[in-house]
Amino acid sequence: MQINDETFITQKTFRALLQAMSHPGRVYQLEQKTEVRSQITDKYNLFSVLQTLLDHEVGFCVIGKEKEYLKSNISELTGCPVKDISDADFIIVSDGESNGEILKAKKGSLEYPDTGATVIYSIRSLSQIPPYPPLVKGGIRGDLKLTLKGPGINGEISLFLVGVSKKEFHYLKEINSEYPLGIDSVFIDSANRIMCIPRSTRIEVR
Amino acid sequence: MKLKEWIANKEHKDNIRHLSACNAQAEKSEVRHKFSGYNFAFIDEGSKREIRRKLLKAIAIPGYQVPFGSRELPIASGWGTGGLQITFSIIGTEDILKVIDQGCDGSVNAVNIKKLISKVAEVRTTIDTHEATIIQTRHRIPEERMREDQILVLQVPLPEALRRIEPSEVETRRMHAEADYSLMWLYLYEDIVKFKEISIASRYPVMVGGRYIMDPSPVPRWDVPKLHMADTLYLFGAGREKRIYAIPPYTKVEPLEFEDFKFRIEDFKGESCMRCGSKDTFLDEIIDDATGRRTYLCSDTGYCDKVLEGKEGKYYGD
Repeated sequence: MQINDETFITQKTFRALLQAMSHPGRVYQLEQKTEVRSQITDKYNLFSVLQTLLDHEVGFCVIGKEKEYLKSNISELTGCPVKDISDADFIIVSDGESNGEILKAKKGSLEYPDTGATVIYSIRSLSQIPPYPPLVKGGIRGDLKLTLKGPGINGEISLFLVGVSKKEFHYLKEINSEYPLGIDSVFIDSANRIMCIPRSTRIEVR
Repeated sequence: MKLKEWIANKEHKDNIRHLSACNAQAEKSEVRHKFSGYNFAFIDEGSKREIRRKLLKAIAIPGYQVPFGSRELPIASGWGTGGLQITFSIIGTEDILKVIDQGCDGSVNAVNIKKLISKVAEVRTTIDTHEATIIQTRHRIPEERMREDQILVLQVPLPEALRRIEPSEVETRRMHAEADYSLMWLYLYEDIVKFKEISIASRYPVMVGGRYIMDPSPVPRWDVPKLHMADTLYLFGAGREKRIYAIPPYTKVEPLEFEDFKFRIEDFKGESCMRCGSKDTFLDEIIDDATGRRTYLCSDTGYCDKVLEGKEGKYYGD
């Protein structure tokens, strides 16, 4: 079946998100053979996820490069209002670097922890196998190895990221230190792959 | 093409959206799409988006009940509308659906829900647990161990496990917020003092991920251990009570028990299914009104059929 309709694209995207959120650290491929992809090329991956989750009932904000471009296009495409970071339900980090801004995100309340924000990172690459050449100690190429534990993970899982700094995960750990309060993160790379780290996951960076 | 142009184009696309959905369906099934007047999978995209957002939060906080705006459906709330809304929000045309009610594929509730979903989402249905990608269920978890790629959607009548001890929603929400579960433990203790047994037969409270006490829906105790470190994603929907919650795979789910008074499952004292002979399944007891004779049948009819066919040499699957 050819997917040429928003209903089917968002359904497929959501199923990938659902699997990714219930298997933290596992890298899933988003649908690629779509009409839309050929038309907005590079940021398609990000937009297919935003289209699936955002609408007028929630608010979003953008951190990082291309801030204005993304802001206007996202709100035009989804009808989602732009909000301050401390009030936004979705925070889009366009180049994998929030410089600690995400610490201002909504963490939810103890009565309603689900009101905590969702952060969506657009990064260069996500992979389950080590990049070649192998990781140099200290991550000279900007590559990061993450080891995750927690609900959804059978034992532990490792994965490799390019285009996101080590610091970012310290911020994530900090904001998620008071479970069940916290934020849930979605990582999307340039090859249409996604990976999620919900607040219940314990992160180890190497 | 620039994004702006694409957005301009989108309006036109919206107009042909319905048509293209029909064409895509027709291509696949070679039957012209019959639906008109409602969206694919019945509920509108806006409602699906809300349910989808809530589902992701439910998975991120295992065992926590996420409030959602439960929608009107063509069946009355309290008849599986929570499960139905979850299924509608996740289902795609490539899914294979199984619906069971008390383990049975053929009961009225299961048949009607299956008919509705397969009509509005045009999916294939099955009674084989292995073949299904989505299983919607009321009051049972299938006997066969489910895989990672499958999703079990449970219909929940009463999502609040603490409701039997505390009638106020504000108060139970505070208890969950502070993980203040002493009243629940007291209830279990008093039960043991009174009956020398924890008298909760179904809806046995469980502790999820060491944080939230959760109602596993009215499954028998038999099914409770299946929630612990499962391969499958469990989604719970309470339509009337407007709550969604979830247990992701590989999550600790412990039935509440005391060190010196352990949780135990139903004991059938060696009885077996009179149809397929299984001794390792959850059995329904059938009492003959005239003679008073007790007989037993597998509650999971799909599994019972499979065992029977295997014995008769008809079934060659795994």
